[in-house]
Amino acid sequence: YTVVLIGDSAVGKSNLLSRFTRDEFSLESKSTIGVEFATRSISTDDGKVLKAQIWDTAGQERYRAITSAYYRGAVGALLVYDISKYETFSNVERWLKELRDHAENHIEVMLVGNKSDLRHLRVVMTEDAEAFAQENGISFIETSALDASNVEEAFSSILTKIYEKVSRKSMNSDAAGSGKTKPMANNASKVIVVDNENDDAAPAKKKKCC
Amino acid sequence: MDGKGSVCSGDVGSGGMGSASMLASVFARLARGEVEPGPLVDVAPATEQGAGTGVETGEKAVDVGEVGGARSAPSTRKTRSVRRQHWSVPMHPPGVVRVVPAALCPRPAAADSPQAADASQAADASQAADASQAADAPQVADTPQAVVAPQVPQVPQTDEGEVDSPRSSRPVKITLHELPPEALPSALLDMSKARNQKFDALLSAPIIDLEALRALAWSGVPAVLRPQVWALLLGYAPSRADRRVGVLARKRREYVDAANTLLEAPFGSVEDAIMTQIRKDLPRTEQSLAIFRAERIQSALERILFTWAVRNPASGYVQGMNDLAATLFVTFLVPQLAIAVNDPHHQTALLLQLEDLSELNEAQLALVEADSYWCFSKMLDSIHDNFIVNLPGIYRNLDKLERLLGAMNPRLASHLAESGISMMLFAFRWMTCFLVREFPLPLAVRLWDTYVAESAFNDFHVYVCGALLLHFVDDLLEASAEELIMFLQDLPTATWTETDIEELLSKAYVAHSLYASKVGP
Repeated sequence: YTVVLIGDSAVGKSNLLSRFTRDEFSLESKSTIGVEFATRSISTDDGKVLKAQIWDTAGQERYRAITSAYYRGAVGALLVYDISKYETFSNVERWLKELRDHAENHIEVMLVGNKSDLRHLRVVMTEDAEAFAQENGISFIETSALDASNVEEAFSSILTKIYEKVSRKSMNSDAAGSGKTKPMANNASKVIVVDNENDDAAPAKKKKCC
Repeated sequence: MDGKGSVCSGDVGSGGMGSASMLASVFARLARGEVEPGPLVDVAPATEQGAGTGVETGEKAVDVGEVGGARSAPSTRKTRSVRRQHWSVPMHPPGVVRVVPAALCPRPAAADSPQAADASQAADASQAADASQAADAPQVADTPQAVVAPQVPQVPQTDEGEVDSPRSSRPVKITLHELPPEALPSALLDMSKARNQKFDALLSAPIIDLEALRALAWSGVPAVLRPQVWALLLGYAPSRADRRVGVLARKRREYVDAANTLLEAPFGSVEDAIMTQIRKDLPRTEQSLAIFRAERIQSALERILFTWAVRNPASGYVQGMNDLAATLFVTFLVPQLAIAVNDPHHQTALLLQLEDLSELNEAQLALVEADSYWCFSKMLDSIHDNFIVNLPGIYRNLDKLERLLGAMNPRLASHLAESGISMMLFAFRWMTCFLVREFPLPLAVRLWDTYVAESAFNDFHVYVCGALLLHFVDDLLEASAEELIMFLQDLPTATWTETDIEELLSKAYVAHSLYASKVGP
């Protein structure tokens, strides 16, 4: 599965990726120029191995034309902001629009409030981000690439959702229409799936971050 | 001054002692290690006024129309406390350095400026400057003023309690110092080497033979001479010795004034966005090198990038420019560091790891800053379309690299193509940062000797990229698509030496000779 990391510059996209793929974090990491790539496999509860190919993108506007080319093949997007910089959260809407313009309709999006270790500098409230995520039908989590909290969860959660979505879709497309999943139109399925996930995700994450 | 003072050049007496020639001998002794690199002695006879106000004609100086309006509008943005950084810039002899408290010192009158043509612009700008200087007055009123450059490093000052919008968090103020003489770094040159003698002979000519210098520089420039050689080859320093001192003094002054004006003027949304992005990137520029963690260096780079970006609105600031500016800055800084720590046998890599920069005085640092700015500006002139909207220069280079690779090694080219790996995936950063990210910084600087010697930065670089791919051809041919990207975005060059770089350059040279006509512009 191809997943993209997007969001304003300096919110910690590259460190989220290095934490997830190499369990590394660097305060000295440089700005991403263009795109960078990394990969990792995880196993699902039912023993399936999911391989993620993750594209990390440059945050600056000038590079948008290049980075948006990578949205196209992506089935998932982690939209990252920095909980200690309000502007990076207010720009989330713009990033969602980018996704709507350039990505597949069914892309699974997760809003990620990174740098949750900076408790004393927090300016974006968890509730606000949660509400925003709910309104927009995307899931939400707060992470810290620095202390590694929720990083694994963020990636495995989006990968699992993608996996479920894809397997559901493929079952739907089976003419037989198996009893396990209620057959439904593709576009309807997206909305419902996302909303459900959202409700589930919210309480779990709340206790972690505050 | 000691760095606390908010000062500018003006017309209050310097108490000037010393002369240019005496100064030169002090520096010569300093360079030989006979005296401590303490405070710079001050100034020449009072024959010239301090700062001009001219910002180079034809370049965007400051949007004067916006000054009044933007200033009066109180910000409703989210607030945060900000740092105001006072900084100083040396002037070349024989310019007099005179210092007064800012409150007493309006910007130098435009009439004093050699660029009187800019008078109206300058006058407008100085009105804005006056106002902000007045506002700063209480802070500086009791600061002792001296004409001597600070011995203690100037630490950026915090305006205690100042709460302002992000847009106004910017450095201010200029101080003028005496400059170290031009020739100083070459005192560190080991003249027993024939190659160094050649450089010395070329550089001491009344009119420097730039083509000969290019040819010599192509194969590498001694670190202590790089500032001079790069400044000449990039077209910043004039080749005529009799004009050089004057022109450089004027350019440095111009930079100081431009930076000062822009930093003091109220920020509009454009300036605000530029500064915000620069401040996101500088703390993650070459942080593995201790000197880049120093606040003084960060502030200097911030001023360089901001000044350039605001004056070049077609591109503004684009990520990656920080790497380019840092590379130039290091180049100009290294000889001054060697002087500061009094180590003629310095090693660049060690100097870059200096934690304590207190031996580096303000005059040296300001010289480095002004010269780095102009060379950055010259360099960017030739590669500007790498950074404008849609980045046409980058794409042109990527296409060219693809054609080149096809010509150099069709097998590798098709392996990449079949694996779905376009040039864009790995070489985008190569094209943007001119391989600074791919090599340890001292090696990148060596690589750039050749780029500077090749007059077009963009052209030869593509051949170097081609040679770089071929250097790893065996690894690449065996790699799968994923391995290819991972390998190419993190090349195993940490153990490279200058010899490896030189081999790479010779291969690039051969490739250029063989394929340039085939590959095209």
